[in-house]
Amino acid sequence: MNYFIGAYIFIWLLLMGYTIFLHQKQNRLQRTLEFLKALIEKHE
Amino acid sequence: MNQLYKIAHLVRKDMTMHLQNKETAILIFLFSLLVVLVFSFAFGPIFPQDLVERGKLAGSVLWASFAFAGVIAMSRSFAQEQEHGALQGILLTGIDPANLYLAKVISNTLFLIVLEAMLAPITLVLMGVMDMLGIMDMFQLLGVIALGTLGFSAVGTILAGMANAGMGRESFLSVLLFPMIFPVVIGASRSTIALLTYRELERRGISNQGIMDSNWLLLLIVYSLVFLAVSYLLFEYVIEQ
Amino acid sequence: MQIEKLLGIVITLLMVLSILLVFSYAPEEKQMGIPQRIFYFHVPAAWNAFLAFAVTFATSIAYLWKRSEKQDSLAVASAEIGFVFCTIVLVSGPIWAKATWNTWWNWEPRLTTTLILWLLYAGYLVLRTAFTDDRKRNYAAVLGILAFVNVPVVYFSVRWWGSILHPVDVIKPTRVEMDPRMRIAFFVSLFTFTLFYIYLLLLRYRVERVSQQVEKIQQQTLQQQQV
Repeated sequence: MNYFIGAYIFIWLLLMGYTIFLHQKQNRLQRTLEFLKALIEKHE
Repeated sequence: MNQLYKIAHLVRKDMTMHLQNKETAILIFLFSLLVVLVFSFAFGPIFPQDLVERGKLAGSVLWASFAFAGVIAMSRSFAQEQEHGALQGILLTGIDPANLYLAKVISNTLFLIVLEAMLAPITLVLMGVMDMLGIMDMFQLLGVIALGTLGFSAVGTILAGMANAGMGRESFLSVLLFPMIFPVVIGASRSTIALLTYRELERRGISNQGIMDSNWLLLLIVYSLVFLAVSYLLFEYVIEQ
Repeated sequence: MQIEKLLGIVITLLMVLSILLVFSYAPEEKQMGIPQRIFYFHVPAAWNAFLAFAVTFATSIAYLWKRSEKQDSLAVASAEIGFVFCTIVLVSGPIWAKATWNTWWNWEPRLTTTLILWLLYAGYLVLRTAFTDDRKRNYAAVLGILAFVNVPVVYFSVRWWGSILHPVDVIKPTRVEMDPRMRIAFFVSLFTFTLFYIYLLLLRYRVERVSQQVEKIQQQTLQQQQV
């Protein structure tokens, strides 16, 4: 029973964690990209 | 025909290089001998009295040390070309990249077989199982070693082509190579164990056909053929610049 | 973007539904008790891992053929997600085994194959980070193909290997006739997981594309500065 709860919590934490991690990475990269593009435009 | 000639030429070149440059060969030999000794000290000094159990131990140790020696040999296999920029030169001779792969597999296999043929008797003596092999069994053992090594080099050569350009050559290659060659390790060590123990089992009245008892040799053959074919097709992408 | 958001909402709802189904609708297995309910997440995770690696295999071939960066991005995205699901299988498997066979690890062929898969694709992901130039795409594609070709070989060799240690009956989970309610819960869960894989793939793929764009811009500016 305890094992089961452990496994269960692990599965969901990992899946949630991974999804959130991807979302945040996506947002961060998108911001970097926009920043860089703006920077290039300013210089040109 | 021309390509065959080029393959033979490359194999001869590699073998000559191994003969001239003996340090690498000696180093790899000593290393694998030390692996055997590490196992002996970890398990020994009294090995299982039961001959079957001892045969199992010896077969496993033999292939564990071959695997480690193999990784080191593989990681060196493109080192010469890389250091002297000779890969471009070889390709300029008009050899098909896939045939360059074949040549490397052949030379790696030959090199390792010679090494392992020297290492095997020492290991079997140290583990106290040398008497369990008849003369004919030794030839069979050589056959198992050849098959296992061929499968090992088939995968090892193409991965070495990649890992050579990466950082931390040896450790990087072993991370890529070991998971790929587990079937070879399983098949070859099981066949070796069958060879070592079948007489003792027979003496106890357990009838068996020794090495032919199971599908391990078939596995080794299938594995070698599959990966030779796949790697033959893929190798050009590995050395493409 | 819109599709993805919609997919996210649908998956969340389906997840809630499948958890409800698993815990209240599906009957309890008599022999194994509650731990058997890991099955509803363990098996779909294994299916997802396998699906993900198959996608990596297919896109790797497509990349070597067509040389489109999109294929390469899909391959690495799928490999990483497969790796995550593989981890889930490797953690939930031993826990299930402990509960039913009273041993953490018994070299059951499927579990062992999963472990080797996990190692293979860990190597794949390491390879992606070890090179910074374009060679990594070729290398990764070659490794993606080799690794997947290896899967059936590993499976059968581990199976034969294990059959010497245990009689085959011990390692084969007994095929019990599944209760229809169990089957419904299982298939809902499987469907949800598959959708979840697609969702993660889309997400991870976009991350890969954006990060490639960022890298490209950075390299261009570096080159301009050097000129």
